[in-house]
Amino acid sequence: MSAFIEFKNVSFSYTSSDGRKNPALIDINLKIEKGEFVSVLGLNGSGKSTFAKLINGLLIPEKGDVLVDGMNTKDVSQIWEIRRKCGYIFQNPDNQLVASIVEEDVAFGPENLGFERQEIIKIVNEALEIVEMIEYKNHATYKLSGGQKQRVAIAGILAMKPECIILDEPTSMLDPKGRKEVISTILRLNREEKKTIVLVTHNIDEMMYSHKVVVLESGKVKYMGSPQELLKLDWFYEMGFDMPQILKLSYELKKRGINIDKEIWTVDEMERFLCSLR
Amino acid sequence: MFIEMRDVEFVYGYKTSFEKKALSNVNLTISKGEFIGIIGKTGSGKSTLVQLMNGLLIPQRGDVIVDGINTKEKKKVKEIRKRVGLVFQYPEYQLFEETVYEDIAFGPKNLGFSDDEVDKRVKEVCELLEIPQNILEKSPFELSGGQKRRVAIAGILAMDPECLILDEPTAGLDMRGRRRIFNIIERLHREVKKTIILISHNLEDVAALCERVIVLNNGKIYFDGPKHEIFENIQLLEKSGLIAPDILYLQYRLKMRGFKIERFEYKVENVADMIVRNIAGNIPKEGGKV
Repeated sequence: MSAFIEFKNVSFSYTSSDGRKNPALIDINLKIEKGEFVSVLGLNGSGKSTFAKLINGLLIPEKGDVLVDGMNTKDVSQIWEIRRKCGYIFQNPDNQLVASIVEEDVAFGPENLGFERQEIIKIVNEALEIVEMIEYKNHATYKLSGGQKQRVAIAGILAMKPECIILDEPTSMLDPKGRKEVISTILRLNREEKKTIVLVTHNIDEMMYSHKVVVLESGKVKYMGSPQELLKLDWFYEMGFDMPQILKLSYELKKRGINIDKEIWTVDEMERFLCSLR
Repeated sequence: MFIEMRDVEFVYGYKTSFEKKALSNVNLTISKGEFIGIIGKTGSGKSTLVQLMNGLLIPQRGDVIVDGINTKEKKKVKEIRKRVGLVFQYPEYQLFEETVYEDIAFGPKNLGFSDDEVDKRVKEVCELLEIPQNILEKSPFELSGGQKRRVAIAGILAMDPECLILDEPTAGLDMRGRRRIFNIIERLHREVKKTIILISHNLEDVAALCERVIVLNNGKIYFDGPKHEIFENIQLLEKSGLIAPDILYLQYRLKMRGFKIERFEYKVENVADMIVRNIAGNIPKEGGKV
């Protein structure tokens, strides 16, 4: 069986105004299966947004190929089908809503695809149910909180019936409450709606929900595997990611010679462990 | 007293049917050289509070006095802006000039400084904000996110304000970008002696950096005092709808379990040291055996 998304020897570089090429991704090879939840982790400038934009043809590889469900993003005749299958959520909640009323915004996609009115109403309601924004359906979009706006944007994508949703740091501009809302929505999309998820992030908490993590550094894949295995690697803690405090503490304690055999995440567990040492 | 707020009340959409009270009963004083963190849930009034401090908003009731000038004196608003620089959230959205240099120079030029003086200031703030000389002639839109952010802050700092207010200055940056901005802010406070007011959702950052903390809740000052008084009183903090950072919870629990913790630590490394000391205390020291 072939993968849903496949990168074959993909390289990409940006050209600056003085004509110099800055490589953003170098010879990337990887596969993402249908229904997988993949986190793409990297610091600013690691190439993670470039990676995400290559999936749905917002960028076209300089070398190599990106295949989505067998279609090549270089094939202009299939680009709209690729974009329908892979919806894209941007970082800034204020930049991606197009209508002034929530349900009109969500209806924008299916209207453009030429659905019947009754069908559109059904699709919009379903999408708003999934993101738990149905009671806001007649609200003005500008009055929503950041987390609510992001969820409406996700509903707008869902209304296009995509197979995969790519989210480019969807929580980095949100407050803690908005973060929680958006992350639980993403989880539901994957676990219940069976959507393939590609989540670009530099937040370690968020990464933990995924099946697979890809760590990018200077345009190359530094790690690909489970989040649990990643936590066992020392270099990971020194890379400069936002670590959950207790996890960072467990690493710092290990460095100070305290024997911790598995990674500790929660305050409860850490309390129990430390009290057992006394 | 550098900034003083007396019985301040602010209402958005005043005398319209959309009236919404954002702040009431606000009394506070800020002295030169302080480093203050302002925290509170979304909608608690943080941004309104700081916009009152440099005359972007004028209170309907009460007074805001900056270095002896009432923000209601319309003719002196420039004087106030010169003294209190406000860096908005996502300040890089406000970059607009053709080059980085022009963007940073915009403020001091507007204040009427000579070209030489403007040039001197641009060079100074670039050094403070770690902006390399070779990007000054680039378009701001060519820069990385972290660079843009620093250029935007440089534009405010170039006006040489006595007090710098930063509204979520590290939002959207990764850890490395954040650490860099915070190091710069700390240096502005310690070495350049600026008064710093920092708004942040991230309580870990506020706990690690600031000395005094103001907590807003529903448009009122809920707490104003030294940080340890609020961060070591987790119940009080939670009542304002905020969630304490995990390492504070942990220290609180450990203290109840008999760990020796005199003062809470705010940096993970320091907490680790403190725990090691506590545990080591129960293991007979090798040097103790004679």
